[in-house]
Amino acid sequence: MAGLTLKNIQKIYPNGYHAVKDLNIDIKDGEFVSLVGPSGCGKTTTLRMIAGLESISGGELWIGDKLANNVAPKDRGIAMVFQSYALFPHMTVAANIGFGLKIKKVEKKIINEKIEWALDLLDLNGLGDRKPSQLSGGQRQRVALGRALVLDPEVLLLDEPLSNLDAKLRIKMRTELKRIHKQLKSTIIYVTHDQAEAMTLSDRIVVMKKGELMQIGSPSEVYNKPANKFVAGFIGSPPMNFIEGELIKDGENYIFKYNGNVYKLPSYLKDVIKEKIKGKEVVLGVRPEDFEISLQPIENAIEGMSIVTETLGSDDYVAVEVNKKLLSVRIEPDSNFPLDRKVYLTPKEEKFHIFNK
Amino acid sequence: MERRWNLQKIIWFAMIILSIFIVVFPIYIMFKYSISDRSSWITGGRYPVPWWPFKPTFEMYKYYLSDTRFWGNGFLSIKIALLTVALSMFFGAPAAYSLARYKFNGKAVLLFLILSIRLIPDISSVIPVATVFNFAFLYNLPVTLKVALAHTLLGLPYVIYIAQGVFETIPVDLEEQAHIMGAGKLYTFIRIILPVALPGLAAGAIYVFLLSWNEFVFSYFITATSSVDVLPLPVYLKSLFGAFTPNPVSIATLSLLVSLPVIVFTFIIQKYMVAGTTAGAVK
Repeated sequence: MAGLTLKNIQKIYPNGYHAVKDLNIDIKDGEFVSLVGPSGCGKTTTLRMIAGLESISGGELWIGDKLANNVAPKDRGIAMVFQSYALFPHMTVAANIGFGLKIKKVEKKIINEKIEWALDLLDLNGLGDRKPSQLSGGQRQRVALGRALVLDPEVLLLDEPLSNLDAKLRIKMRTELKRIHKQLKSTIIYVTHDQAEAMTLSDRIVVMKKGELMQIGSPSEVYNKPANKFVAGFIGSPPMNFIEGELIKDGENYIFKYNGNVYKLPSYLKDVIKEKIKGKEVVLGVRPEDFEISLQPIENAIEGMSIVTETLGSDDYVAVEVNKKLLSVRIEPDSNFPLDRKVYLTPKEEKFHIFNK
Repeated sequence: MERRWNLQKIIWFAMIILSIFIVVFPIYIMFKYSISDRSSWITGGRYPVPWWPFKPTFEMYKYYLSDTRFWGNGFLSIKIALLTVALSMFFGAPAAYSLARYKFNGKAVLLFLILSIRLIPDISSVIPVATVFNFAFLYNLPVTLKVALAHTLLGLPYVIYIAQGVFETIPVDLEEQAHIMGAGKLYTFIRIILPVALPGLAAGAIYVFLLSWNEFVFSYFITATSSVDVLPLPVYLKSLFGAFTPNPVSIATLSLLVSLPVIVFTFIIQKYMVAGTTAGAVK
């Protein structure tokens, strides 16, 4: 196992498209890191550069303590699981898993032991003689994983491995992946567009947008301290509520002005504003679960109308119209919240986020 | 399900019956003649030729199946056809693979050039080809190889077109996966791509086999300029008709015998043609 360092990594395609811009990531040995972002954000390109399937246009890629920019994929000590699994359809499950070892001219006895080990680890016992077409989606996915794991890779690269599974199986495999990571302690780089997957699996999350790094941090960091509006909106479900408005300085404190209304901002935001905010146009962000909602008038609250309620079983949400936009607010389940009423929203302590527009 | 006959259904059904009739009728005629006794086809106009022979006989089959000349020619045709398949695949599959996988300028022009020989009627293109085969170094090649080379010329465009389509359906992921695991290009092509492409390539192989087996014009011109006793079957058939008025029983018998290897070959290779063999590769 080894760590991995990306220093100022660039990817510029021959047609001039700048797919990855100046990416710096430091991944520790045994860490589970997710690259997450919407499609076209460069996460898969980054993974393919690490794998050696794409050339690196600029910067340095270090795997362990060796510079890997120009090392052939097979000598990088990586293994990769493709989104499509890329199982060899004419080979049995066992032959698929043993393929890489066979190429490396490992002794037949050891190959068989390794295959058994993988089948056992991935709960595929007795399926070694099957062809991929005779397996279910989840089983194919595990075969693809086993084929990578038997190679004892320094770094394991997973490209959206769960996206072809149905929702139920995806959640099961998520837990399974976590168990395998715990057991093998391998360094894993995981690409996904599903923020929930990234949140549940990773030690750290790398959020990307249009080839640029938005934020690196633990799941709780990116959730609780999003670096910018993009990260705030991308991470979390239902997503964070945003209210656009103007920032006005009032002596020591700040006032947020939106659509003719004013709201006095809590004092803990002062430092954040000094540090991050440029200009007057700002966006306030509050997660649905971070609002207190009241039917009684409250001084210094965001006023709105309750429009509809939605239930997810464990949680209920009420949509509140503020400034001609709907905000989602979490309420107690089965609380039978009155609709078409004026409501007063106040964010919970320290749960207000403010971003540049 | 409701089983009622309405006009529409009757018309559809009639169409099917008619199509089957059109296809099967000549075969029936051939078979009928091949087992006819003499009085069933030489009627001298005194009575119509019967729909079924008076005394069916397999005499003509016995005659040809014990005729060494027929067997010699038949084996030559099989050898030529198999050699043509082998040559077309050997040259065509890698060519098709490059066309399917690599992007380069002038690809469309190249594809057109590959197909160009098939755009000219055989009877025109055979003249330059036969001339080329008269060059000393080609002239002295064994006739099997000469005819097979000529047939390869005809089969190659089809193999390349069919195989290119097949290779394009194979996900690049498979190759990249093999590449990451340390497999070289050639190893990947032989061990991963070819086996996955086999069913599609088999379709191309059948096509080329039939093309070579049936081919007359090129075979005729190339064997005509060589002094050989053994001829490809179509040329041999022609030579039988040349000298005297042919006997319909022997023509019918020979024609049916010539069709047999085609049926056998198709059945052998058919098991590779099961649809959906790439199932399980991706997703």
